[in-house]
Amino acid sequence: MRKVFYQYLSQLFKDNPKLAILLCDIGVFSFKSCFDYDESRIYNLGIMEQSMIGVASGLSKAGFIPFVHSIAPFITERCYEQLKLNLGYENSNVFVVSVGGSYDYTGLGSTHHCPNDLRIVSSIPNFRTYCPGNSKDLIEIINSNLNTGSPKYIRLAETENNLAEINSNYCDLDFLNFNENGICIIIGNSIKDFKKLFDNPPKCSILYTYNISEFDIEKLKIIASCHRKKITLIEPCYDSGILSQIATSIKNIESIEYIGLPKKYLDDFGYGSKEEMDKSLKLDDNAILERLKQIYD
Amino acid sequence: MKDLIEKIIQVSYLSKEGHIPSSLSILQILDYLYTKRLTKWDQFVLSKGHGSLALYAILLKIGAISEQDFFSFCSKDSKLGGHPSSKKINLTESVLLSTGSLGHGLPFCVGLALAKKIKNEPGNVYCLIGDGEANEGTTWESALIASTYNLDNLICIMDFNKSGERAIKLNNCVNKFNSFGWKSRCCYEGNNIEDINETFKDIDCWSSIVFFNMPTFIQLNTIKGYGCKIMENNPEWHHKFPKDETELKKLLSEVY
Repeated sequence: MRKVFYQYLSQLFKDNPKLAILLCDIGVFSFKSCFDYDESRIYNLGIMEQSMIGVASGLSKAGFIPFVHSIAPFITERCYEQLKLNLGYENSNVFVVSVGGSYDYTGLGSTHHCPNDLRIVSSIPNFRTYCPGNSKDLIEIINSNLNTGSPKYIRLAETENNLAEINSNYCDLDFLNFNENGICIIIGNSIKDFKKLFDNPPKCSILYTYNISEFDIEKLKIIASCHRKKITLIEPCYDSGILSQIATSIKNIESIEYIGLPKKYLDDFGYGSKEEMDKSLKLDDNAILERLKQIYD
Repeated sequence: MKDLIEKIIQVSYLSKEGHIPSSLSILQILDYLYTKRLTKWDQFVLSKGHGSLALYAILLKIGAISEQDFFSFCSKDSKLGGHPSSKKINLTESVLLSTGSLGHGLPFCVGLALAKKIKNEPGNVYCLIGDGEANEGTTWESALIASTYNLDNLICIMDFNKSGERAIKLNNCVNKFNSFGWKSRCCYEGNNIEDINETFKDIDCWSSIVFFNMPTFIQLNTIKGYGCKIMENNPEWHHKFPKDETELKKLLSEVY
């Protein structure tokens, strides 16, 4: 996804003179063609996340569409007030694009983990927050938001799901599988291998979305009206806030199950690879599918 | 100025809000900028947003807002809050950024100045910060970015009213900004319009001769509470309004 982001944004940068790119000393080599094409619109501002958000807000006020790119904890938690005031309050047309969300940098420890980015950015008014599960999602998000005039946060994931390969026409919160016995909502790249899921599906409807802040609760209400109210939410982060929306909006819920990250420092579960961390947290595909079977079968 | 100082004190009394001394220290520089300096191509951001009463007073003086607007300060439906808000005040050229939390104006102005460079637009970007505000790391991050990218269209003015003295002393900021690659000048009497004028003349002169491509820094040595004797350099008044008619009269009698 990160590679697609660099390639796609590089092309957009060349096609659209309003685009500007601000980097916190990451992705610099990957945007080399942009530096070569027009160095007046792309800057490596170094390790200055707070100021970089302010600079982006100024560029946006002058009519540019800045893309700000850095590592998740530094571009969200470290400069939260800048996101809130310079982008949210000013409703600036700025894309904040992160890598390393949750525990993509497993081995680097808790300073580089960021399971809370989606929740905290979603809580800022005006911000549109996304957790794309694959490159198709990412391109859709960028294209549909270029001229929306509000700030966007996009978390790029290290590992993608294969949903687009199996079903290229899926839409936000569409049925990927129908079973009135319950509803399972999958966010972004929580599940990597949808083929495995569809080969032996749990006895419930499967819905998918990458949309965090604009989660379509009205659509879910309609869907829930023709299902048993046994709902499961699967997220690749701390509780993003969708869970409470469901709990307070859907009437007569029989049960809600949550499969996501525990509110703990994740290096409590060790270092190692991302796959090893998935397993430790019981968030690998096999563990999630087993849990779904337990819930619905 | 006397008339504006009196109005600031009166509106603060009526609204029971406002930072009077922080506004009084910047009244002259704002007057200079708005009546003698800013052109249609220039942009200005009051980064030390708690000095908003000075901004509103000058907007009143130049006719950008009405007396009624001014005296609605901080009332429920007013567009003039304790800190300037771009959402409330329908004067986009006067409040480009909502400020109040310190350390946000200069990075934003770096973005504005950068945009002018990219678009090859004329005009300068002026940012007024406070000396206490310069404790914020974003001041120095922005200083570094601005000089690295040769933003000679950016002018940072520091209201050096010594608000920060009781915490972390900055001492000579001219040297500090010089070391960050800015051309810098101290205005020793920052509440004196003539001295402000001379300072800007020097800066203009330097720009055309020696300091090609550098952003500009001006340390404006001011007196916090200038123009109202009892408030001058008196930290007690930082965020305080006259409590009754007697105190109001006393303060007004101290205005010069």
